[in-house]
Amino acid sequence: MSIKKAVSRLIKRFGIGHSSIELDEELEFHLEKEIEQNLAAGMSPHEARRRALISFGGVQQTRESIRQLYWLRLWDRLLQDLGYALRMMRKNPLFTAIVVGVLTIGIGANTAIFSIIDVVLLKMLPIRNPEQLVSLGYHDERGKLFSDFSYPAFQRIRDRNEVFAGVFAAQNQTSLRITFTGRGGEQNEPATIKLVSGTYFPVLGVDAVLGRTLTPEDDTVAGAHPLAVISYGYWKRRLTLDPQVLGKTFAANQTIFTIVGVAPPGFFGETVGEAPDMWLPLAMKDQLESDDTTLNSANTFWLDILGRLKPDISPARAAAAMTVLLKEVNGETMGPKAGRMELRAQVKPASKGLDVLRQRFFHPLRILMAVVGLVLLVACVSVASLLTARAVARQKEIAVRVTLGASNRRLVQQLLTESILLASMSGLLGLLLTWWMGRALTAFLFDRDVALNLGLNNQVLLFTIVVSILTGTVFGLAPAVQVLRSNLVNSLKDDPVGSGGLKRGLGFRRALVVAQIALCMLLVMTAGLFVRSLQKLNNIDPGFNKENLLLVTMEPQAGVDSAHLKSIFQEVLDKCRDLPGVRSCSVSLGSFGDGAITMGPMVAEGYIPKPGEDATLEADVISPGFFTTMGIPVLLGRDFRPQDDSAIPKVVIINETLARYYFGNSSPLGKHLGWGRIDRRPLEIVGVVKDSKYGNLGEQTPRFFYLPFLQQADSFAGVIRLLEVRTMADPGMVAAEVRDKVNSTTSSLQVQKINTMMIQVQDSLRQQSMLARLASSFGLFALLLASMGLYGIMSHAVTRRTNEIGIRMALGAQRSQILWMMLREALLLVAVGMIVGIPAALACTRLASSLISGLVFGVKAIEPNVILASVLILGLVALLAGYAPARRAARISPLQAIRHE
Amino acid sequence: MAHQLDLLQGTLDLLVLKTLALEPMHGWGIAQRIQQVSNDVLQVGQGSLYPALHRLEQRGWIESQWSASDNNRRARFYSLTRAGRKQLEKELGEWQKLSAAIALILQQG
Repeated sequence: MSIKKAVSRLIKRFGIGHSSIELDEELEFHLEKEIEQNLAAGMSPHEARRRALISFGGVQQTRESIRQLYWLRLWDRLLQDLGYALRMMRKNPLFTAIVVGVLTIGIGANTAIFSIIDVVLLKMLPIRNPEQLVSLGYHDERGKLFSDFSYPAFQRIRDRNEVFAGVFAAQNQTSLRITFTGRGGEQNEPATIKLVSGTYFPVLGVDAVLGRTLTPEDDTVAGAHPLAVISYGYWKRRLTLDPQVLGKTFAANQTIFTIVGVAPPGFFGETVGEAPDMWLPLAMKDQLESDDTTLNSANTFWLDILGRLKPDISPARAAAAMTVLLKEVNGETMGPKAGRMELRAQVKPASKGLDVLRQRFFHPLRILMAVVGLVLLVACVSVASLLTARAVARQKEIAVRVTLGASNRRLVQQLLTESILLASMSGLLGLLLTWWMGRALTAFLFDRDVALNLGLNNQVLLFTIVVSILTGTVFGLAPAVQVLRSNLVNSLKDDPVGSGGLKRGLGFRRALVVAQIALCMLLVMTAGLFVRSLQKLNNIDPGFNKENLLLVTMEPQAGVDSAHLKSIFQEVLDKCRDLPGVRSCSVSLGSFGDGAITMGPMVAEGYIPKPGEDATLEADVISPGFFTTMGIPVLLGRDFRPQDDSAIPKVVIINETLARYYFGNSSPLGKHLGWGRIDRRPLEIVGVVKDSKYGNLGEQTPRFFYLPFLQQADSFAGVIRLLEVRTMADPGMVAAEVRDKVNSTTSSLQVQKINTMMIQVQDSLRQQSMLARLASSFGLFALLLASMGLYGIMSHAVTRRTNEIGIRMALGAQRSQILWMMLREALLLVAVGMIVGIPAALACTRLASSLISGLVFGVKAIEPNVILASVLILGLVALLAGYAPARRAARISPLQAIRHE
Repeated sequence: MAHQLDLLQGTLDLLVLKTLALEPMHGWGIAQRIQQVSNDVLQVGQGSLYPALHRLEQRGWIESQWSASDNNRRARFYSLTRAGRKQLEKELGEWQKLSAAIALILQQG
């Protein structure tokens, strides 16, 4: 009943008519009157009622026809209002263009970010019943979460678990060079592949659009299933939707693969952000990849495991069962000791796919959403201010409409229709902008190999519609309220400057300008935080010399043994060293941006570990000359030498952090590191080098050690991937020659990628620089809007005060005094805006500090420099925006001014 | 009881306006009045009366207000607005012209 009442009140408020309750009451009254009359005529009560009802007729029909009346009227009014709004727009094309432009940017930015959030954070995988999909992981005894498994472990889990209806394993996508056979296509073209188990497609419930998908039978014998399912995108892009694609073959690492099917459009796998060109059976791993980590190695953890639970199994029960099974499997595959290790399996929903991307971009995307939300708010306030200015200008017209009988609510309806129409137009344009911006942003936000399927879907559309209507209401309400409040009778008189309505309108616009400045302050300060953080990151010493350094990623062919690889690398180094323009070169497993490997647990001579201490260390495997080439100073002892090969005792070089951690102030030279126990394959420390960054610039340098590649080639030759070349001048100049030299050495080792260290370092700051750039451009946009608002109100003030200025000048005021008088007004507005804005901004950054702290480096939420800079920027903008009108005021000729009216 | 006459489109509006020109009335009162004055020739059912009242109200010719009726029961009273009064004059004029014209044609017989 109360809801009904509320609705009826609403209906009345909007002037549509009376509610159905009132109508019922009215009809009831009518009926009772009839009955009364019949009673008076001497009928029995029953008869009186019966007769009355008969003569009364169908009530429902009456209700229906009256309701129709109201809807028709509503529709009529809407059409009328729309027509009127369109006419107003046509009359002021420039005004309309500015408003729509400002709003388009605001709404477009919001939809663009939302469409990315939708794909990365919200959307489910395009597979059958995505809500059933779960991923498998486990916590070790320290509580650290792992989610990678070996192939033997997967086989056992697949065959022996009792909780999954189906389970599959997949490797992260990798790139590969392939050559299509049979026609003169490109040799060794790149392709993105993903190795998956035979159960992959059946468990995901994805069928081929052409041919067939991989089946469990395609993944039984290692090396025996050279088959490929290609993605729809690849089929379209590379093979021009060739209907004869089935049975086509290509060579990858000397194995000939046959295409057996095409996956459906939109299917990208189970990991958001990946877009593999083709899926190949796991069983083919050893034919494709050359690292030591063979398919059947039990100590290589490279597979994600996902599956669907049986209908009656809860994730918690599945986890309990998997804990038992995982221990069993570990014991079988890695030895009894591994089987005794404590672990706790984790089974969690993966309906939206594996969440690598989600974890990395959760915070940045939320920050961006907040920032664009603010931008939209600024846009709303600006437009509200523009519309208020116009509403004031339109007051006479409105007053005429009032005298002609338009009610207040009718006027508000009219104004709201106008603003919602403006917002809807902007929403539509915003969608176009989204289409373009979404792509640009994806390229900007994520790494190059991330592919997102951004499209206009229902959610994005709904979001745009809701945002547009909300926007229209927010900025439309302000002028509407203004119109209602102003003194309409006054405005009919031809009194452009003195009327109460105008004055109030101006006060209101001042308030809007203050709001604009305050919001602007917030945006500029946010941008300031990110910019400052980026600056700090850029100033960090990476510990190596990033200039004139070339990084070559090489790909050895599968099946080449370690001894052979060792000599190949030697040969490559010799050849490159002789190139003109090359100072020195080296090979290594990793480098900045490519990361290192984690080894251990390690023990250090004379060091007693604390309980629960993490004994794993980061390490790199390098050739002699690595430190010289990288420009990492050797602080103590020596570099590796060519003589450090298998003959002499095993040696190791450590970084400063490791030396300090284990050996304090005493010299580590001559001491030993051991694998698990100090006497197991001990490594003698021969040198200490300066700390350098490996993962990213912001990281705390870990305890780090270096192994000589020559001595450890048996174990590590297969994982050497990088060639570092220190050049005399621009490293780009020798890139081509280096590529030729490496490729011509042997067909077993090919260059995959060449990059300069400079670019590698910049790439590592991608997210930070993206945030800084986006936040700055949005801040700039807000500044532009705020200065527009300020300029508008100042121009108005000058016009309004022309007369007064003229009198002041006639009384002897100097031009500079007038200039200052007007500027002071602008500065006052800005100062008030700042006084409101700074605390608000501080409160916001404090609220979001947990979000922000993960994204900024070395910057606190409250950074005095940032605040100061923001104040200066805004002050400067205010001066600029206020100067032109103020100067106009100062140039007024007193005589003309006094005649002004 | 006399049988009900179908009223011409627009005629009911005129009758309602004319009836309300005397004093504010509720729906039932209007129907009664029309019936009485027409000597029971014209009977207005609720099915046509209330849509007409709401239509007239929407056009702004009449307005309504809830107040107590005879035995203190709440009823909606309709009254003529200024615009309604004008409209009534206009429609009366038209009606007289129309009925005179029709009478002329019928008398020629």
